[in-house]
Parts: sequence; C-alpha cells; structure tokens
Amino acid sequence: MTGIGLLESEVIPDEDLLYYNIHKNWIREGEVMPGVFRERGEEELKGMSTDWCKYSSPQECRNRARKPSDNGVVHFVTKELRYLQLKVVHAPFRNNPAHTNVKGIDVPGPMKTE
Amino acid sequence: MIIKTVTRAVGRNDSDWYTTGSWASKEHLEELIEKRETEGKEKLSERARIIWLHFSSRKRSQRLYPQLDPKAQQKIIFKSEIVSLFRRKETAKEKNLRIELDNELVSELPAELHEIYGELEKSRSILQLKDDWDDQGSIRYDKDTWKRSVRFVSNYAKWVLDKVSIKIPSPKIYPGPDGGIDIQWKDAQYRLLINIPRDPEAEASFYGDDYNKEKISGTFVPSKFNLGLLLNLLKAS
Repeated sequence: MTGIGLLESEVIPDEDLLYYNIHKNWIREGEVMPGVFRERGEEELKGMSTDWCKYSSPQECRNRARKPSDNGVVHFVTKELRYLQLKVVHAPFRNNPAHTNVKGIDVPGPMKTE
Repeated sequence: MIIKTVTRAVGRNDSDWYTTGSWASKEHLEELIEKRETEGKEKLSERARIIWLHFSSRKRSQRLYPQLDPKAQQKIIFKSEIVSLFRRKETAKEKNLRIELDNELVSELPAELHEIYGELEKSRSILQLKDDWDDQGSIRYDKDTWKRSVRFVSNYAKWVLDKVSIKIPSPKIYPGPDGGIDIQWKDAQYRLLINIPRDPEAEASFYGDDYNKEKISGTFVPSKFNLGLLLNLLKAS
C-alpha cells in the first residue's frame, strides 16, 4: 500500500500501541474530556491522528505537539479500537513515519441499539 | 396559575385543597369565595366545603375580626389565606436558581436541583475559550450553543422532577468537538454522552453504553426530543 507522503503504509498488528497527544485544556478535574477524541481533516486525510509505537516513542509523540509541555500522551491498543468498529489506518508522512489515522469516530446516524 | 406548588410549599396534603380531579386555580378559588357568599355552603361540593372550613374557622375569624359579622369574618379569613399562599408561591419562585447570560435569563431551576445548577454555572467557563484553545485548531464556543445546552439539561431535569419526582444525576458539561458542547452522564453502571452541535439546525448526537455489550447511539432534535426516552437511557433511579 502507498501512504499519504508516498511512504509505504503497513498493517498494524492488533497488539501494537498507538500514542495520542492530549492538550492540558482537554483535562478537567483529572478526567479527560470525551471531545478530545475526534477526527480532523477532510476525506482521505480525515481521522484521529495517532503515532504507531513501531516508529515512535511516547516522548517523540509529545514532542510533535506545538508546545510539548502543555501536552500529555495516552495510548490505545489497536485491538481494542478495532473491537469498537473503528478503522486503524497507517498513514505515514515523510516527517512522521509513525502517523496513523483512527477512523469511524464521527458516525452520527439514526438511533440504534446493540 | 395553579396552586399545586403552594400546597407543597406549605406542606399540606393534596386532599386538603381540592379535588374534582384537578388543581384549583386562583380564579377558581375566587369563584369559590363568590359562590360561598351568594349561594351558601350547601351549594359547594364536599371538597370545596373542606377547603372552606379549613380557612374559615369561626373561632379564628372571631378572634381576629371581632368587629365584623361572622359571614364577613369567614370571607376575609379565606381571602387572606389565599393571598398568603400565593405570596408564598411567589417567594418560592424568587428563590429559584437563575442562570443568566448578558442580563438575559437562560434558564431557571428549583432550589432542589442546586447540584445541576452548580454544574451548569461551572460550564460557563467554556465561553472563555478562544479560537485554537488546544493548540490544535479547536474553535471557540458560541453563546447560543451554550444556552441551548443549558436549556436542554435544565428542561430535562425539571421535567423528570415534575413527572416522577426524581432528581437526575448531575451531568458534566464539556467543550466538545467543532464548537459543539458535550453533556456527559457517567457512573459505575453506565455512561451517556450527548453532543449539542454548534449549528442550531443540526441534530444532536448521543452515545451510551453499560461498559459492556449494551450500546445505544443516534441523533435527535433537542427541541423536539421525547424527554421520557432520555429518562430510560439514563436509567434514573
């Protein structure tokens, strides 16, 4: 497969971790607000931007924030995201081979139960 | 205007007051006074007679208004009690918790919903967030979005209190994605998240689960939403 930055995208194993930056303003009374988990961008580029542990450490992920000291890092287990019917798509950039989009978070629709 | 609130405020049983299946309005009570005066007590229904007797104790009226004849005494006592009750109701209303923005009343909650009031007041801080408040391009929040969110929560809380006498759990009000506001109920058994969108014409979305297999999600129009459905979602108890 070809990635967005012409780098090859790979299939991410279920057990691998994805790192995600959270700005301090998304934390209140010790709890992370749900709105921080969201997709950004349009069309093919749309997704929640995370970093795959194969190519990034949590610190490297944090350093990609505009002001690292204002951010913290959480991680997701890929398997658990897939269990929630979310798509995990490795979308490497030239300057960030770890970049991975999580898709399917914004799915408003008629009321349904499971 | 109905007198139900007043009877609660003064702690009387409903049956002390009225009863043909509905509550007495101020107009009705005035009519009752008139009827009692012009037609005599035999024309009153049994319940109305109870009301009358309750307010027009002969002993009391004689003590308070010895200069008047018994009929006038009864009438004045009855009227003064009614006036007093409505005054109490107005006083109780003044004690309601008001949420205002720019000198405009956004919503009003009875004092017993003070926890929800506190959370709604706390959420006012959302309006202080400027564009790019998270260094990731998140936009600021419109006053209108906040007002719609506050009204949704307070209307729902009042509705449940009125219909089933339950105080709903206090939700958290958070800044949400794309200028929308998130309302979250969460405890050890369930969680429910509602997003009031920035666009007033757009539908609100919700997601709830029991941390396990039971999940519910969808969209709705906040102004037309069946609040009873939300009661089920919240499993209020």
